[in-house]
Amino acid sequence: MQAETLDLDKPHGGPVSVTHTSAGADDTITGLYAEHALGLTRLALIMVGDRESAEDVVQEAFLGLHRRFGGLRDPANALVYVRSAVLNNARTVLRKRRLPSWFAGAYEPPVWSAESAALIGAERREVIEALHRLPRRQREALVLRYYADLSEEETAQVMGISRGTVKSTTSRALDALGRLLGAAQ
Amino acid sequence: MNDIISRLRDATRVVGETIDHAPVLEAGKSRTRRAWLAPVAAAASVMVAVAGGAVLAKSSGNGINQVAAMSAGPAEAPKFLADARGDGITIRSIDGGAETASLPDPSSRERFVTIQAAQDNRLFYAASATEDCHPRLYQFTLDDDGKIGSFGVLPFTPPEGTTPTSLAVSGDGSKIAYGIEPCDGKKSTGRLVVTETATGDSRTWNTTGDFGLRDVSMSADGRYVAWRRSGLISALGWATDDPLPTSSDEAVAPPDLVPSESAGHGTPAPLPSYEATHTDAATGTVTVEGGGTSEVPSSGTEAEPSPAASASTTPDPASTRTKNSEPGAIATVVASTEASPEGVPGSPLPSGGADPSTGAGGEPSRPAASADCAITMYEGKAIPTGQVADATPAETPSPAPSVAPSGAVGSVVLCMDSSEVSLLDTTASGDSLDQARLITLPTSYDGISLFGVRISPDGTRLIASLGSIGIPAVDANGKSKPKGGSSALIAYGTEDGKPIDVLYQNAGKGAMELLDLDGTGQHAIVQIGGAIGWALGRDSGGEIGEVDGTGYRTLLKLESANSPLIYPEVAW
Repeated sequence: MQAETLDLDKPHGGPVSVTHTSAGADDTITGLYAEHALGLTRLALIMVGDRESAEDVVQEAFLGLHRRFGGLRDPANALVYVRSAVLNNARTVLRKRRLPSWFAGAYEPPVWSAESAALIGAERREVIEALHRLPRRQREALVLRYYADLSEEETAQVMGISRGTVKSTTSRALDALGRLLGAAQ
Repeated sequence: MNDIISRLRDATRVVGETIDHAPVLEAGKSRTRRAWLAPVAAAASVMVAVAGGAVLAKSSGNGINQVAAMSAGPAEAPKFLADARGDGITIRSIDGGAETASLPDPSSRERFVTIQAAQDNRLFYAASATEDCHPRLYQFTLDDDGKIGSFGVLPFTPPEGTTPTSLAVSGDGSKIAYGIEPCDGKKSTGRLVVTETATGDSRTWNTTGDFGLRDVSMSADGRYVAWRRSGLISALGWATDDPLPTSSDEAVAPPDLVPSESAGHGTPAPLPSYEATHTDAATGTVTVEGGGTSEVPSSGTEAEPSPAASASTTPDPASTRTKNSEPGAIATVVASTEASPEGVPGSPLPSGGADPSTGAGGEPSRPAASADCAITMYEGKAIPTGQVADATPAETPSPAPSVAPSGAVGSVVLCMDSSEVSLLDTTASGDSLDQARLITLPTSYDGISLFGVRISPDGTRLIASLGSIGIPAVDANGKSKPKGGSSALIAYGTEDGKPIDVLYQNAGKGAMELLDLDGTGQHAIVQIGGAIGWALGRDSGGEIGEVDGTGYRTLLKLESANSPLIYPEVAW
């Protein structure tokens, strides 16, 4: 249960230090980007709602990876790190939006908003809106498990929580989502 | 349930597929961060030749030479960092952190307390505090290798009986501004002094409120001075372990993090009692009306703040504010060598004001978001908050600052006590600090506090570090785990006090104290962790880092977890 108190704000890629990134690291990062950027951008989009913010979130995550690559205990953790960073950056974006608009800056309405609902259909819009009414951790667990198709173990790593917590959070989240959607019908 | 899952999969997939490709990775380029600040007008960097006949003697041996005023070169990205936290001043190269030069404290009875650089990162000023309350001002230059080019004392001094608190330098070094407080620490009636370094002509602003000045900064043209009000600094310092009642509800920190001797360097010792009436100390200062502004070409010609317009209409909250900002409202975290290694669950760690009631002297009426907090470092016994807060020479005997008595107490104020920034147009007439415009930075969000503020060189922005220290969390097993706070450097317009841009944001690293902004306004020195991490029971010593348009990088790891920073003792 100790993991309950850990927070995603600190990506779990091992100790972070600033070191020079070698050319090999650059290749690794480039490869990682080529393979995962689209998926991560989509994941970020589901979290933050607009494409520009989603792209920024992913870009920042990879820049962070670039800065810290040498400090990662195990470069194989880079994907975990970058996924964590995407979640974390998305959270920052959402947090900023709770501030007055002159602070957060202008942003596009989410792709599932009424303005663009035609794009995805009313039913899906309901689902996404319900998803966004869930507590942050429940939402993240659901998206990682069922959108990104990560295993419980992988989800636990990315979220920095224990596998058991992933399991219980996911289960509670599904219940809550079911209730929200049931109420909407 | 499976229905819900499949609907979820379907909806998220379709939303995701509205994006069909990701943009190219722009290595090293951050999309979200715009250029920091409007570049300082090149005109501001006009070099003024050293006045004919002015001799700048080289430092030799132990002798301290008197120096004449110098002018700084154009604004440059910093190459060197001057660190006045320890004994004397250490100059380090930013690239690699190697020490390039050092200046010892002038004597065991005189210590450098605050330091600041002109915009060229080569001309520096430092102010000292002395045991007999005769502070002095120093100037030194660096060559391109970071060696001391010249070093000497200025022929004019701050008023007798005072301690300088925070020093600022105009872009070309022709003006310095500093806060002073009575040296006896009896009452914190801060004053602001602006001095022409070429002539020593000074102008002093007084106040009737009992607050001190910290975070003093100056626009490059020397016209605007910004600062924050603070409680009494000079009463915080070394104290002996004379009968101090212990209190049971204080937080404890791991014993290995109990401060070493260096803990007290940031705090001026309560120097021997100064009986003269400090209110008279300002006599003899020369008032210079708008002096010097013609020498320094004005920068930032557009969007210049106009404090004059609102100065007189701003209600003066001094009387209520200063009540709040007295150290009496401080919450204290006490370390004990006998403490258990883990933080006590639910212990009153500073939490960005989330629980003002932890402060023994906390004022119930004060808004949570701006609650004060202090960290009292201590060996041996606990010290109650009130003891620190009401520290007077009688209660805190004053040993020589460099000799920490065993079982000594060093106190640090970490959480900021005011989110109000004062902005003074020094070209306006008048001699009251209360005529400065008050800009309240929004800190109501997520319980964040202000950790340092500086005015940008062009005078159009206030760069502030806002953040939360972190929240102690307790898990199901009763284990206390600190949760890192987050912080951000945010630019506010001096005109309206509204946020303009988020320059940098960190999450989970804890609060970030803004220590200095360079002459170009593009590079900031921040401290992360350190005493804050210590308060949270982390074993990291913290670090000093640089924030610029590309993000954060570490400059210096702090050896001990408890380097208190009351003054902006690190500058570039």
